[in-house]
Amino acid sequence: MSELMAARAQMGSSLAFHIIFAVIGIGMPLVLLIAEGLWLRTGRDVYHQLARTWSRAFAVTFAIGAVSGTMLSFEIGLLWPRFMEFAGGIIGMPFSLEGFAFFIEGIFLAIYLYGWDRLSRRAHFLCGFPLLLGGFASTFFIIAANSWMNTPQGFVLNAAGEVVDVDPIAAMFNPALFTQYTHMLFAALVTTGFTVAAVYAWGMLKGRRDEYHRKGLAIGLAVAGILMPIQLVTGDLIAVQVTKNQPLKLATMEGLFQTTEGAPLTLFGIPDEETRTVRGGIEIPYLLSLLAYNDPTATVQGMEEWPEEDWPNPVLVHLAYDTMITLGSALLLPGIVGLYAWRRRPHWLQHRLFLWGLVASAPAAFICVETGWITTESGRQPWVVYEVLRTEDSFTTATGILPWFVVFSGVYILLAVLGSMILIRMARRRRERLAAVGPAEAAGG
Amino acid sequence: MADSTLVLLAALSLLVGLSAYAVLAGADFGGGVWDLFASGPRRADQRAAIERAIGPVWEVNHVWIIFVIVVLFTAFPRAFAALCIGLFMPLTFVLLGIVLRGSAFAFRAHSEGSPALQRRLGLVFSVSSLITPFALGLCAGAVAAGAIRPAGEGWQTVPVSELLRPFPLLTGLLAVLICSYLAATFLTAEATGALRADFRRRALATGAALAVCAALGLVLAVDEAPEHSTALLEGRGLPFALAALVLGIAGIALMARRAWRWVRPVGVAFVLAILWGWAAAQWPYAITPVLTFEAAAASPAMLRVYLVCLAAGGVILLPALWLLFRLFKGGHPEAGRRAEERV
Ligand code: HDD
Ligand code: HEM
Ligand code: HEM
Repeated sequence: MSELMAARAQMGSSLAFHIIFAVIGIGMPLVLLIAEGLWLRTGRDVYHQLARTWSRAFAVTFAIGAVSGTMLSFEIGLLWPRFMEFAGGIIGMPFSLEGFAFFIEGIFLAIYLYGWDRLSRRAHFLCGFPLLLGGFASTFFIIAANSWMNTPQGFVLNAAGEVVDVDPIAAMFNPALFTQYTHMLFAALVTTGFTVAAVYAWGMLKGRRDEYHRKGLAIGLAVAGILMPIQLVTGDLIAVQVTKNQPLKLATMEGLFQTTEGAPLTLFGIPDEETRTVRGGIEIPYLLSLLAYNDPTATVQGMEEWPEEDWPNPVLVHLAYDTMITLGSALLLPGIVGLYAWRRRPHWLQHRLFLWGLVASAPAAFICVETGWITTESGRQPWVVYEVLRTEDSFTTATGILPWFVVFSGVYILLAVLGSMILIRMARRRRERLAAVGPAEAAGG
Repeated sequence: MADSTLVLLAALSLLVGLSAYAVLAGADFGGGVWDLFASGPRRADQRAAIERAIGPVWEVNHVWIIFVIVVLFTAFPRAFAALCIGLFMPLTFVLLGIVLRGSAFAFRAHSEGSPALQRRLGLVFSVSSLITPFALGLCAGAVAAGAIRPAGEGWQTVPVSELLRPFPLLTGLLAVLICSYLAATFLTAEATGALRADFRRRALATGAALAVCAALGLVLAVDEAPEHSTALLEGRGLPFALAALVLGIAGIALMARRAWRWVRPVGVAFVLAILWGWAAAQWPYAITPVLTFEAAAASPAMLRVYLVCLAAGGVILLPALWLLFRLFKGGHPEAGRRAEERV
């Protein structure tokens, strides 16, 4: 493996790891607020217990999110110093604002976690809001940086290749920001909702069909089910945006080599760069033109319009993209079935098939997030800043990346294993305590 | 605003971030060091006191290093690139230490009921608390010694042999001692009874070691970091060096006389005097002696926007920080305890 490959692999795996905890970090405050709000309104202890339990688990996932995010802040400089040297003075503003958002998150998380008995119920509940908004804000700022990498603006490159006329505001509010932000934000909320629902569906499959599990499942499913249709709308918007701003990326996502009038949508199949065709795959006539331009006969540019050295990896990008849209569409089902069952067939909600579906929805949502990001990031290759700075030119001149890649991969595996182990133990201890003392006291412990 | 004023303000904001990190996270790292060296009959109590002191605040304290990093690459992108390339190796150790420290601490706090696992996590926590400040101090020493040099368009990576020279090694040790001293001082102020006496002894011992090492550092600097030592002994850094001397002696004297109310503020002032002395001697160079802050800075338009963001962010941040510390460090010794037990 070359040093550059090692660096790309390290960056990619660090981000793929971080995004899992980032997603939970964005969504969990919403779920907590709902549970705690229901507790304040109804006074029913089951909601209190849910909020307590989730906040304890959140302490662990947030810590992993914080340390893995810190790794990213360092890595982005250690691995791509010439990128940061170039970009820091243009897109640094959202990064520094993000610093403040992290402070707000960290502060209110501490107050939320350690403040259950130091604040009145209402004050404690209110402290959940800055936590939620802090997560929304930090997502906004980090996405601003990333969307700028996709649609860079707010500066001029002079003849000597130097950056002049920097406009940090224009850089931050770049054309991809809105669609990328909304798509990411809803992805995080939906994924957290499915995760919560999946945990309790699993418990119910194991025979724990008490009120606590039913309510936990209902809150998670409600969040995911309500927001999922919105997520598909934002998905459509982001696809249109990419068509406009990064047509080569779109062609790669779709595995479209030739410029085509009335282009079909090709699902799956293996794009072959040699023959410039897609092997296998399911073709749906006119659908691509329709989705990209709202016109079934519109002409969609193929990859052939660009020199081959500017192509991203078509196999990776096409398969990642198709995985996201396939699983993403399937994720509408739990919400629809859940809604129908809730109105008409309540016993379905307890059915094993439905519960298994929910259990599967959590990994499916995470796979959507990961493959969506692979689409975005690998689809931007070979550029780190689209059509401005190549990835290989932003790479560090320091050597010895490979051993560190191995070390940090080990650290991630360790974090993942220990983190899950501790969460599982936590759940088991809660059940043991519950069995010993009864629900009312267990909530406080 | 003149461009040079913008640069100065941005550099000062960096110093504010570094100071907050040194004092707040420094004490957390020091707590880890004392966890490692917990000893005597009250060993378990010492560890518990440390855990209580760090528990609610370490995540927020740790954000200061992220703040420092983002300020560096927003306001001084060229210096950021130079540091990342030049100090690739020690910075990677910093990173490893930060990650292991934070996660081991959080995991340990939430794995009650599994003593064997907790013991192992405690070891990771405390050893990484030692590594991180050491590697950071080493980086500061290497920069002061002028070890980062340009190479063509870019920068040279500092070879290991140069990192392991006496001066950077000593600055690494100094950083560890500063953290340990701060932690012992804070814990003395927060603890009571026999536990307080334990931490008082530790504070006195590290205070003395710190004084010796600082003096030794000055001697080594004359040879290995000449620009730095001149600035510190004859120039801009002198007032800070003198202040550090006075505050250091005062801190030890107050500790010896058990003036509990004063040990914490004087200890903090002492550490800040050292840090600011170092910063004053560093100025105007971001990378001694080849890159000034002025030359490393982003465009004035960026600096202006950045400073506005800083002010706006500060308005939101300061009240929130105040709330946090009032809730969990509210002055009385048991502040952290009840909350800790309830989580
Ligand atoms: C629960 C997660 C989830 C779901 C159900 C979907 N997506 Fe997505 N998608 C993401 C999670 C995601 C993501 C991981 O959050 C990405 C990566 C970058 C971003 O902003 O969002 C993303 C990126 C992304 C991109 C690439 C943007 C770029 O390169 O700049 C496109 C075109 C789409 N999505 C389109 C869709 C469509 C048409 C969907 C409908 C089926 C869809 N996504 C469902
Ligand atoms: C958290 C979700 C993200 C994931 C899963 C992700 C994934 C990836 C992957 C897989 C790569 C390697 C691409 C390749 O070389 O083929 C990469 C590269 C990179 N990403 Fe992201 N990314 C994410 C978000 C971000 C954000 C928000 C930023 C910037 C603020 C960013 C900055 C970078 C940089 C600088 C590189 C290295 C240069 C390059 O390969 O283009 N990423 N990312
Ligand atoms: C789309 C991609 C990303 C999203 C949505 C995201 C979101 C978040 C969220 C919600 C947190 C809070 C911690 C938690 O909940 O566990 C967090 C933490 C963090 N993230 Fe990310 N992040 C992304 C990518 C990145 C990148 C590329 C970097 C660095 C360049 C980064 C740096 C950090 C840091 C330093 C923290 C720790 C903050 C703390 O200590 O509280 N993140 N991120």
